[in-house]
Amino acid sequence: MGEKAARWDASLPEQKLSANDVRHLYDRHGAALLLFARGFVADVSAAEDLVHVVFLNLLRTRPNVREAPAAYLYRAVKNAALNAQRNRSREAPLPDHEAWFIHRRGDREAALALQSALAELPTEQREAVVMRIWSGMTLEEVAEATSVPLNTAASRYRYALAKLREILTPHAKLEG
Amino acid sequence: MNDDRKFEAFLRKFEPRSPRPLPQAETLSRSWPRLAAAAALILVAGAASLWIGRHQMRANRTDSQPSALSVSGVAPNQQSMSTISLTRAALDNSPEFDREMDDMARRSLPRFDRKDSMLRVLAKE
Repeated sequence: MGEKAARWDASLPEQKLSANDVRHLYDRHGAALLLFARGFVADVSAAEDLVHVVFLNLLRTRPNVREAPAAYLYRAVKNAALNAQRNRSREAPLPDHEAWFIHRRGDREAALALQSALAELPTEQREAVVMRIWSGMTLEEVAEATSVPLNTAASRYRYALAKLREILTPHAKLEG
Repeated sequence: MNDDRKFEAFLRKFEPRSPRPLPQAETLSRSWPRLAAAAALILVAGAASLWIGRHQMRANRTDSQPSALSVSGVAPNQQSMSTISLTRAALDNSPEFDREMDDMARRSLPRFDRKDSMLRVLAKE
C-alpha cells in the first residue's frame, strides 16, 4: 500500500476553467461521460440530464480545479448519478431503447454486443475502460478520477479488457 | 501487450452517442452583452420619454400663461379689435354682446365644469 491515491494533488496549480474550456471539455468528453452515466441511470434522457447538470454547474460556478479537468468531470457525474440513483430508487427503471454506441462501419450487432458486455462489467471496471478508451485518459488520470492507487486502476482496466475481449473476439475477428 | 493495443483500437471504432447540445445557461452567459445593451436601450428610451414629458409640461405651462393674462385683461389684439363693436353692442344692449362675453370667458377663464376641476373641489368644500 505504498502508493497514494492521486485524488487531490496539492502540488498542481489551481486552475479556473473558462467558458471556452468548458465547451471544449463538453465536445471532448461529453459522449464518453454520457456513456459513463448510462451505466448508472436507466434511460438516456436521465443520463443526459446528469451530464448537462454537471456542465451547466461548471459554467455557472467556474470552480477552481486542482486536478485533471476530465477526472473532475467524471467524479462530478458519478456523484450526480449516485444521488439520482438514491432519489429514484423507488421508481421503476425505464427500458433503455437507445443504443449506447454507433459503430463506424455500421456493425450494429457488434455495437449491441459491446453495450451488453459493458453493462455487465462491475462499475469500477466499466468506469476504468470508459475513461481510458473513450475519453483518452491516462491510467494516472483514471486513478485520480476514481480515487484509487495507480496499480488498482491498472488492474481494473486489464480485467475489464479481458472480459470485453472474451465477448467481442468473434466480432473483432470478423473485422480482421 | 500488442494484442491489448489492437483490441483497444477495435474498441475505439465504437463511438458512444453524443449528448444533445448544452442548453440555455451557456448561451445566457454568452448573451449577457446583448442583455446589457437591451437594458441600456430601455433606460435611454425611458429617459427620453421622461424628458419629452417634462418638456411638454413646460410648454403647456407657458401656453396657459397668456390665457391667465387675458383674464387680467391683457389680450391686446383681441381687445383692440373688438373694442368699438363691443362698446356699440353694449350700448345697444344687444344679445351679441352677451354672447361675446360668454365666449371670452370660456376662452380665458379656467374651466370649472370638469370633475377634477379645482374650482369644483373648492366649491364643494
